[in-house]
Amino acid sequence: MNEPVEDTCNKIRQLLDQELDEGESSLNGAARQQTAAHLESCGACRLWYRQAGEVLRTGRAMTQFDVPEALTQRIIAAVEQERKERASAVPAAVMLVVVAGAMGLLILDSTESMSGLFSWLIGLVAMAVVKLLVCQVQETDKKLKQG
Amino acid sequence: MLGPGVLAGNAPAGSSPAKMVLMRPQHEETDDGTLVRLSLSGDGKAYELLVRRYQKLVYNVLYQMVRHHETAADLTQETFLRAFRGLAGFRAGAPFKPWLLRIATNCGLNWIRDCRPQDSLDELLEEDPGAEPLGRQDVESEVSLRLSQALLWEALAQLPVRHRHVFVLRYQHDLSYEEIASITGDPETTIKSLLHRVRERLRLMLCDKMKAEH
Repeated sequence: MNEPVEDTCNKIRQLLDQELDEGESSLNGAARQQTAAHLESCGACRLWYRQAGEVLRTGRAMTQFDVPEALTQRIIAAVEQERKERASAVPAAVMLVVVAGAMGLLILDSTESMSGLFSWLIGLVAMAVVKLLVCQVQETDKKLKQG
Repeated sequence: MLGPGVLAGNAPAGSSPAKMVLMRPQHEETDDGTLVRLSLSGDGKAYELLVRRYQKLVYNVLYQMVRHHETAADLTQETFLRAFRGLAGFRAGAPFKPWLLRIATNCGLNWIRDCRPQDSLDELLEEDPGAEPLGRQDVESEVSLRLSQALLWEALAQLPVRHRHVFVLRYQHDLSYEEIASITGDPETTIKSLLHRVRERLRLMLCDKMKAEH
């Protein structure tokens, strides 16, 4: 059974589209023969093929703008600035780590001193409490003797 | 800031002879991967060569996204800065060009999102519903296309950014489907079918325009 004309044209146009986009070598021999035979007999597809080809040819030939040296220099200067900032950031980071370490040690040391001080305080308070208790006991004894 | 007039031309990018003399000759033929490695080890000239090698491509891709010379220049600078910052994360052995263009694409899209908030990004990126008025009869119209670049540029400007972007990458810059897919993050099949639709749409738009002019 023959396919409707429109379906045949659509199939051929898909092949032609692939050929225009990816080059003639993207179609095998049979497909190339099929498209060539169809184009000979179908004016609408011939026209379509010319139009589609013209769009891609113009697209491929589109002008590209040049980049002026001023922009290149601007980019390079910005990158250099970034590199310098990064380079100066490394010693700063090392310095920060050293300072943070020193501070840490100091704090640790201080903590140790604080706990030492705290122990002394506890000892003193304990001694004071004992002294107070002894005094109270002596006073109670004195009162009992007087009474 | 750089004006549009400064940028027009068609000579190869980075061809300033005075500057190239300063470049170490052994770098000129060096592949991208080696230049990236040298840049990471602190060789400023290596990154400068990468800039000179790709600035024209990046600039033109961005220009087609934003259609404004000064913005394209600013975004080109931003692209190379971001790329420099991200060099350490660049996978050794991977192609540099698509990686750089992915950064450029993100810069362009960010600019569109931030500076054109009145337009929905989805609309800009994808379909614009009012832009498909062409019927089947136009497909068969007896318009012989003799396209000027200006006409194609005008038609491209009417396309959503994403459509224009893939068309430009494919045809103006001759990138493979694989490269475009890695830039946009879409599967190759999606890019193929998108490009098929873009080509057909451009053809219809241009036929319509030509018919209206005759």
